[in-house]
Amino acid sequence: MKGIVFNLLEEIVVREHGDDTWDALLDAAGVDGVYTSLGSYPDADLMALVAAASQALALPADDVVRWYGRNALPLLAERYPAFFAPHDEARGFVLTLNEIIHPEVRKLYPGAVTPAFAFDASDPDRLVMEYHSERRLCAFAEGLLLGAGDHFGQQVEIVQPECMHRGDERCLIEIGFGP
Amino acid sequence: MSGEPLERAQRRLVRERAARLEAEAISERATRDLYEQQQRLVLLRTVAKAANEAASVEDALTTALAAICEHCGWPLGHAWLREADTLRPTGLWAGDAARFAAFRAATTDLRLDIGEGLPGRVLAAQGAVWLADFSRVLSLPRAQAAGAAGLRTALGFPILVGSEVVGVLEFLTERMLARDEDLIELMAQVGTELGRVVERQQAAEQLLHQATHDALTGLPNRVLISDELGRALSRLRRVPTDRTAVFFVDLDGFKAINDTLGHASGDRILREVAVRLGQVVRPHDTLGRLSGDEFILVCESLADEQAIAQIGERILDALREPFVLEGEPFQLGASIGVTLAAPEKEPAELIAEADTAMYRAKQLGRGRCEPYSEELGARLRRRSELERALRSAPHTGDLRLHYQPEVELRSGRIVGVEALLRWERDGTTVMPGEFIPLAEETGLIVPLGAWVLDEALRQARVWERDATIRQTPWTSVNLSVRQLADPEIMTRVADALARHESDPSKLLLEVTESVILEDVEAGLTVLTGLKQLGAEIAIDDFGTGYASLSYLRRFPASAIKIDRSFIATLDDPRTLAIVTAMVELGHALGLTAIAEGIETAEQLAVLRELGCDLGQGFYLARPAPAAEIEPLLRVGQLLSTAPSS
Repeated sequence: MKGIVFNLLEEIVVREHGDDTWDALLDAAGVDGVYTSLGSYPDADLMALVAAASQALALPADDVVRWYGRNALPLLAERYPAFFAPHDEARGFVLTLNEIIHPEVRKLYPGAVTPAFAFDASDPDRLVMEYHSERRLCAFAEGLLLGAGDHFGQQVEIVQPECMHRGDERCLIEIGFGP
Repeated sequence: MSGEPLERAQRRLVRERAARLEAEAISERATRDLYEQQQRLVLLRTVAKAANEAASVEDALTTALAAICEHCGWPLGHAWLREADTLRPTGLWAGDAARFAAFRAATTDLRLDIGEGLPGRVLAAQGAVWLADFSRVLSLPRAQAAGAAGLRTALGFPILVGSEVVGVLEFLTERMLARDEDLIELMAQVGTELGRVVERQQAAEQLLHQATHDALTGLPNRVLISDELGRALSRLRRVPTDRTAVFFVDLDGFKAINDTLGHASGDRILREVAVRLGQVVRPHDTLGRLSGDEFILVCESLADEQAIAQIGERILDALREPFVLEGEPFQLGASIGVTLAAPEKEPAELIAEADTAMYRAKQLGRGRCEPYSEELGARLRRRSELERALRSAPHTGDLRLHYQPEVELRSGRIVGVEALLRWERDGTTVMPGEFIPLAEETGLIVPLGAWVLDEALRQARVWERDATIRQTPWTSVNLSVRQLADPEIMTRVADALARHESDPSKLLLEVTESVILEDVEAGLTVLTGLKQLGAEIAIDDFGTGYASLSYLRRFPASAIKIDRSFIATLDDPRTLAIVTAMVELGHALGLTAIAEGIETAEQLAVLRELGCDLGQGFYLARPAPAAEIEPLLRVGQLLSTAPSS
């Protein structure tokens, strides 16, 4: 897992709940908390942090991850404005995720493993996104989609008819973008 | 110093965190820049390598297109090359060819002028053009195709040799991308690199052109002429029936011009000669300059040997016109040697033969075209003498008409005579097969045909007035395609009829189906006009043409003449079936059926049996001069006994 994922999480937790909360989460998760965006860290660290937050907030882990994704998106927009500038609505932006994430991540980390999204854009009213990853972070993707809706000022409706957490082969995320 | 220790510690923490973020950002930027720099270097190295090693411009473009598509992650790229002031698509594409098949098809036939389309704009700007959302720019020729393919951003940049745009590369993507100056700068380097390849190829082509062309006239030199001759000879080895002639043209009196007026004047003459010769030759002939005032002309696929003489004449005519130097006319002229290529010969051998013949032309008094071989010379001479003689034949009284009776098969009654042209030359009869094709080729058939018509009508009038001939027959006269195409034909026929006070209904004009093959409407118009004059029309050589039967409905004919080849093979059951059908077809359409070339009693019997109306042939009567036909006309009857029916 790339360091930036931990950095963004830290930034959001500290902003929303203060430094002490972040410290407490690190302690509860049993991780040392030394993360820089230049490095890569065990996936287990993130899972442990999510589990700790889930416990502390008495929220399902997926909800925590979704909340994190939704809040991470504006920070990404702040750091990488060029990827957002050409778009005036969320659907077009979402469709470019593969083209942005892959090249950009590889520039910094040769050989990085990135998630691949397959899109079915044949229906103009709803976008179907297929997500398949060992990390099973479909909730993070959902959060980012909601965040993209926030960014472009659009309502976003999401249903997941298939989900790896429910034993399916893959996650299918159906997205409806409102006006 | 201010604040509590905790507060200071917190401030330090914030500072440290900010410092970390900045360090990360700096490092990320450096890493990213380094990565991008490396990628650019990889691309430029790929293009440079292609530019250095590619065997052709196309190879280099293909490599560059693929490398750029990969570098940018753009799904489609294409190369255009410049031709004069337009750009033409090369058909070289990179990227997802299958997905954009429709867009590629919309590109294939485009020729873009300066300012037209993305490539044309690049040509106008002599620099990169970036179009975002370009499918909405409706003035672009491919806007619609781009829209359909979902292509939204396009980048075009020039391939430059110096400051000249020699080509344009274009790249397209479905993504909406803002103008990227770094990318444009990189592509400028690619364009310059590819320009080197084009420049190299241009230089190579120019060297090749210089090595194979004469600098003064721009014509092929000995090297290229030999090359072309070699190609012509190998073609001749495959198609031995083809005729290829090599002309060696040497100016008469050129040395005097050079000596008295100087080389500059001589050079102007030579350039003018090249232009004049260029106007004489056919587009696919090879015209070249050997050296000095020696020119070579190679003509392939000549229809016949007569064409050789004609080309020689045209060259002589072209160079006989005075050349004007500083307002003064100078008379030159040329001596020409010509030889026929033969498969076993070599190019140099043919040039030497033509040269030898040219030398003889000089010796024989210049201003003429001499063939190399005796046989060719003899054939050409005989041919040109024949033409000359034929030209004067209508005036020298050497032309004769023979007449062959056309007989009603049922009764044996002579109902018509066909007028047949004979040429008495120096006491011997030249057969029609020998001079009619020549007359057709040279157009002499028109005056000859006019003579035939006039003479036949004159003779018919004589018979008309002859009281001993109770029933004057009609006269059949052949009209060739060439005669029918003569714009004067109607007047000629009308005048001849009037001159001899002839009954037009007693004139049967015979035309072949080929008359209407080339231009149905024109053919039918002329025939209908002739019919309106009162003359009758017969379709000659019926069954041998390629016309479809549908023309029969509109052909204003009153008779068909079944070709002699059918009559000769009447014993073949299939021929018999065909002739039966022809007679029935004729009758069904109200046409009289006439059989040509009846040579035996059996043929006559079969034709009678079939109900064929009329016939002619050696068995009935041979063609003969009017004086010998007259006794038959007085009897009016050929077959002593009518058939038992």
